[in-house]
Amino acid sequence: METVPLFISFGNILKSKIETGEFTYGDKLPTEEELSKAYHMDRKTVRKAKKLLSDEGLIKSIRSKGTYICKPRVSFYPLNSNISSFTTLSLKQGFSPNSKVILAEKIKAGRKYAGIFKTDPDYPLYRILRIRKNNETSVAIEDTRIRYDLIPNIEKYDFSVHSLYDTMHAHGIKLSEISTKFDLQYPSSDIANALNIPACEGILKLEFSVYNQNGQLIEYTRFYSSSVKINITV
Amino acid sequence: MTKPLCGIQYELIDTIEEYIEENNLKENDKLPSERELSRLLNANRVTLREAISRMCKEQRLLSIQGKGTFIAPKKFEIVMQNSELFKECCLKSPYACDVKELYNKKTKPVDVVYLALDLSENETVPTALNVIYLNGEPISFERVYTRENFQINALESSALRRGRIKISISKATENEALILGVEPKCLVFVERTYGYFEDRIAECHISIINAARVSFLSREIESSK
Repeated sequence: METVPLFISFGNILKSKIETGEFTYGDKLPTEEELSKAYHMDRKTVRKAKKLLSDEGLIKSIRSKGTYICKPRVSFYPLNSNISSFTTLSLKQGFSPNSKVILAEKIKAGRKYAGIFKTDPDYPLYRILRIRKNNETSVAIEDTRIRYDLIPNIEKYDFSVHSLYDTMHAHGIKLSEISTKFDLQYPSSDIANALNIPACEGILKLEFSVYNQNGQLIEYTRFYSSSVKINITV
Repeated sequence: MTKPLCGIQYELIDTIEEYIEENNLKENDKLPSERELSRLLNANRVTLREAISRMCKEQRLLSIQGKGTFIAPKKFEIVMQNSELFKECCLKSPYACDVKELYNKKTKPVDVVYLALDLSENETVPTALNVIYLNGEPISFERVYTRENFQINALESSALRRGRIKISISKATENEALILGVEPKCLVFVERTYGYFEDRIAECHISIINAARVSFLSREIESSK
């Protein structure tokens, strides 16, 4: 049986308490002595586990004041997305995700997206621009373009409430392959404002290309997220 | 609030891209001057400047003071697979990948490594620093800290169990910037993982990757349900 060093497994216990909300943002972590008594752990182990969590940005120790739980971050698995929507991912991690739709309109593909979707510039697409929030904090900007004729009567759906993937699923649209590209860049001022971050802070840009079973591109999304608000695991 | 990702600047960016395509401009080619471009594209100079600034932030263009604006070199696209280190993915990539050892000696490692390897204060640990080059360009370097007394031979290295790979984002320190040939405080990816042997951490692996030169790709096929 594989076991993991004690301070790591204890660290994971603390992490899960933070993730499930038992210890929430703004709370103070119990003191080292309290933790060591409660979990029958060596104080050294407790201290090492705390250092791990602090290193991951989950807690912050302030001299003579205590250790505070930091604002939670969504864990992102961009390479294992499994065609999961942001909504599903967030819910699974105990967040209350919601979105604000900035734009939802029928547009012409134009030269650039005609190339991406392999159609002509006059081809109709539907663009949905949303700010994705978790517990009222702006976490990401999502700029989605899908084929206009993909979902009948698409204008009637409010994508601040509905999940795009659930809607596709309900219409029997089967997603077959998702291709993801991600890299870091600096935000332009409008993105920085919308995400409430300074312009010198990096953002993660993800490009999702979603294909149906016929190998046709049906969705192309650009997703911009503040790099301090998410964790990435491969 | 102005809508993000909308507006004249973004349309102008498309126009600039068309211009680049039509004139077959390649990496490191120079764009016409701002004045010339605004005439050619029939665009307002202020809007043009903003559009160019955005493209620079997205690392599609490179502006050099006093010299002009150039097409930025394309980023290396590295396919990342589950549980494979960046270095391994680079070696499998279509680019010419070279790994060169910069040093292999005992050093005092960063905090996290102390904890992981259970070292006492001031203890040093065998450290290998390898630089990874793609097409001759230094893209990343890895520091591998190995527990003393742990000999990696053929049998044992296959017994080394790799934990999950965590990628975080940071800014390059002075030393890191020096090795990668970038400005300090440039955006970098930090890749961390542990190697376990018989339930203990035997190896700590920390890589710094120049975020300005690399894009990560992956392909996920949804199995039919």
